[in-house]
Amino acid sequence: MTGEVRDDLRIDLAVGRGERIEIEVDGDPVVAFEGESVASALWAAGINSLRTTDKSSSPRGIFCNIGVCHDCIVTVDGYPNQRACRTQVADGMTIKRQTGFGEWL
Amino acid sequence: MAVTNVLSAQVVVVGGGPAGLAAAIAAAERNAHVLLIDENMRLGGQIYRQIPSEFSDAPGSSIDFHDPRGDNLIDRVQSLSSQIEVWGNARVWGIFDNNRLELDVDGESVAVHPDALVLATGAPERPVPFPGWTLPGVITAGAAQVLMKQYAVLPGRKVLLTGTGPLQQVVAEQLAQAGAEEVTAVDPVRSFAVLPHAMALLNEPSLILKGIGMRLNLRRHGVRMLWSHIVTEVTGDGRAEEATVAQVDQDWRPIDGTERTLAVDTVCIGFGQVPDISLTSVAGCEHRFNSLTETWIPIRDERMATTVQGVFSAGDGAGVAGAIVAEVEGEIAGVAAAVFVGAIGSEDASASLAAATSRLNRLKRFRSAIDKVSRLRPGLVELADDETIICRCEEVTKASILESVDAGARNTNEIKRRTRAGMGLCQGRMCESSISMLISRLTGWSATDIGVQTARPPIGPVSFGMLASRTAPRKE
Repeated sequence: MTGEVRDDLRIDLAVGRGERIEIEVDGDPVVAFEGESVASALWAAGINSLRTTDKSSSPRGIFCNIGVCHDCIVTVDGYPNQRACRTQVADGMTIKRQTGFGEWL
Repeated sequence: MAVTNVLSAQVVVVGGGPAGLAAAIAAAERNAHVLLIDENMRLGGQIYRQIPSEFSDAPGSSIDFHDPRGDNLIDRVQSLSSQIEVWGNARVWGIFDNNRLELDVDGESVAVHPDALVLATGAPERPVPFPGWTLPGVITAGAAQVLMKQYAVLPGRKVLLTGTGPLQQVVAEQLAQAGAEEVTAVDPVRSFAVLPHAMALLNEPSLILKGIGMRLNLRRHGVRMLWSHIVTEVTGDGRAEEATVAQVDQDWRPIDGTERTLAVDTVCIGFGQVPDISLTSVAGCEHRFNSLTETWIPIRDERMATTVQGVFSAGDGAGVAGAIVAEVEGEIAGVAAAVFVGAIGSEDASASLAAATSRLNRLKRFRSAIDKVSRLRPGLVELADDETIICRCEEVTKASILESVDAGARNTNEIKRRTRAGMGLCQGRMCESSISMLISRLTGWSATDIGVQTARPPIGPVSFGMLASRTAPRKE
C-alpha cells in the first residue's frame, strides 16, 4: 500500500489538488497547484535551496515549515523576506531566490 | 481607509490545535460565546493539519493521514457555529493591558478585549544543532509532516530520521506509506529502554497497544530502525547528500569506530518539541523550568489558570505532552474559562472538571514515563563543533557563544547582546533552547539562572501597512 510518486514529489492519488497554475522561479516556469504554499510547490519541483545567507552566503531552505524559523524567506512579486511556507502560490507569481535579506524589486 | 476594529469577546481561544479546539467546545457547550483564532487558514493545528480548501479528499486513496480524533473536534466546533466564531489567518502579535489582544487578521489590524483568554499555542520542534544541520534538505520532522499531510508532497526518496520520542516513529511510518524508497530512523535510546517504566505505562493500556502496533507497522513498511544511534553530521554540495550515523553510549555520545555513512536526500530532526511561550510571556504570566523535558512552561493551577487573572493556558504550549493530553487540558481550560466569565456556575462545572482532571492525571503518569525514556542526554549538545551555527538567523557559531561567556556573559540576554544570537527574524525561537542547554552543560549554571530571552511585541513579523490600517481609540 504505497503511494505513487510521479516525476515531481507530489504523491499521486492522495488528494485532489487545486487548479494547475504556473509560477516563475528565477525566470523559469514551475508548475504549481492552487492551495499549495510556495515552499511545498518548490520542494515538489526539487528546488530545496531557497536563498543564500547574509554573512556566509550559505544555502538555506525549508526548516520548520510552520512559519517560525524564517529560513525559507524568498522574494515574492518584488517583496523580499516573505516566508515561502506561509505564502500561497498564485498564477503568474514571480519568486526570486534571494541573497542575504534581498532587495525591493 | 483606516477603520476602527476594536471588539469585545467573552472567551477568546488562541490556537486551533487539539487544546484550542477542545477549549472552544467546552466553553461553548457551557453557554459562553467563543472567538477561536488561528494563524493558519484552517483549523487542526500541527497534528490535525487539514489539506488546503482548494484541495479535495480522494476517497479510497491508500494514503490517508486523517485522524478521526481531529475530524471529530473540528466537526464539533463547526456544529457549534452559533456559539463559536472562527478566525483563520489571524495572528496575535501582542497582549497589552487587561489582556487586550492585538491581531493581524489577513493584513488588517484588529484589537480584541476578552473577558477570558485561553492560550493554546502549541510547540514547535526542538532545534538541535550538529554539523550540516543548516543545509537545505535537513528539516524538522514536523516540516516533513506538513509536506505530507497538508500538501501531499513527499519529503524525500531516501530519508533519514534522527531523534527520539513517539513522533519520530509516526513520521517514519507515514514516509514509507507515502512512497519514500528508503526510510531509516535512528534513535539514541536503547531498544527496550521503556521496559523499566512498564508500571507507569500501565496507566494507559490502549496507548501501549498503539505503541506496539506502531513498531510492527514500521517493520511491515520496511522502515529500517536503528536504536542506540544518532546522526552526527550531514554533508553535501549545496544540499544534504550524505549523512554520518554512529552508535552511541548511554549518554548519547558517539562510540569511536562505529560511524558509517548513508546516501540521503532528506534528513528529519525530531528530538521533541519546545512549548511556544511567546504569548504567555507577553501576557505577563510567570514561567518555570521543567528540568525533565528541559523546557520553560507557564505556571498553572489545576484549572489551567496562569498567574495572570483571566488567562488560561493548555496543551503542548504549556508543557509538551501530546494531543490526547492537550485535548483534556483544553477541556478543563474551556470549562474554567466559562466559569470565569460567569457563563455557568462553579457548582455546575465541578463534576466535569473532576472527571477530566482524573483522566489527565492518568495520562500524565504515562507521559512522564515517555519523558524519562526520551530525556535528553549530554551527548546531544556535544554534537555541535566550534564552527557549527547555533543561531541560524544571525549565523552565530558555537565558538562565538562560548567566547561571549568567557568574556563575561552570564545569561541568554547578555549572550544575545554580545553575539546577536536571538536577534534575527525568528526572534530566538530557533536558538534559545540550544544556547541554554549548551551553557548549562558546560558551566553547571542552572537553566533558571541562564533564563529566557525577553519576549516583546510584535511577536512575529508585522507590516506597517497592517499597523496603519486601524485608528486606535484611546479608551484605557
